[in-house]
Amino acid sequence: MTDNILVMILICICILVETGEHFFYSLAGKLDRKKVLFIASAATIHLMGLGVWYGLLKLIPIGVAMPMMSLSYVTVALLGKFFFKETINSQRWIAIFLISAGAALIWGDIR
Amino acid sequence: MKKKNISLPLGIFILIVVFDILTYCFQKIAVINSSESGIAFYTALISTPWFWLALILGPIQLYFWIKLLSKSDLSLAYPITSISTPIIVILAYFLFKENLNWQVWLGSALISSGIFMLNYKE
Repeated sequence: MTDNILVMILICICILVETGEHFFYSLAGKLDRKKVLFIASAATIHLMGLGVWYGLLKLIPIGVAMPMMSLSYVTVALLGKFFFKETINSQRWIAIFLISAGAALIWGDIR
Repeated sequence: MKKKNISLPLGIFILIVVFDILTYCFQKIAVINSSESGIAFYTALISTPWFWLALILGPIQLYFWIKLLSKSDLSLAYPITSISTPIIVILAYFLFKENLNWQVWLGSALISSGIFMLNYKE
């Protein structure tokens, strides 16, 4: 496995972890029961993802890793739309496009 | 009852952003100080104080984040605290002397403006 493919996989894992965290935080905010359970779940997967995040920091500069993690804003927004039935207006779609374009630019550089 | 706080408690906001930046800086320093490979990397990581400093800041930051959310709209707080992302990129370049080319700078600028637009409501 080449380094670049490993980096891309690690980034995807970190984004998934961050998305999962926000998913649990949203559940904790929206539901009146089991708040502690959801927050504990978020903290748990955060700690699990920390190992992957540090492995990523060893391979690429943090100045590259940080912007890539911003893709989690897109995944969380999409999660909100399809799972929580939240609406995404045109301003948000433009924002999602901007974030994706920026990430694609950096992504193409990692490859 | 809908909260309509337009003004952020500036102190808490600055504190959160500073903690955020410090967390990532400590993480970066911890990685710099752990030059081993494989499993040894992780054992070296947990033996540097920087790793634990970064870890401790997390709950502290969460406390202030919850405090901030009780006083302000999420739609304003969330995009404004995302200012830590471009600041980290700038710090990475000047402080940690990382090699960042134009794609990273332009990509970061696009991402930062996108994040701000994502949640900001008039």
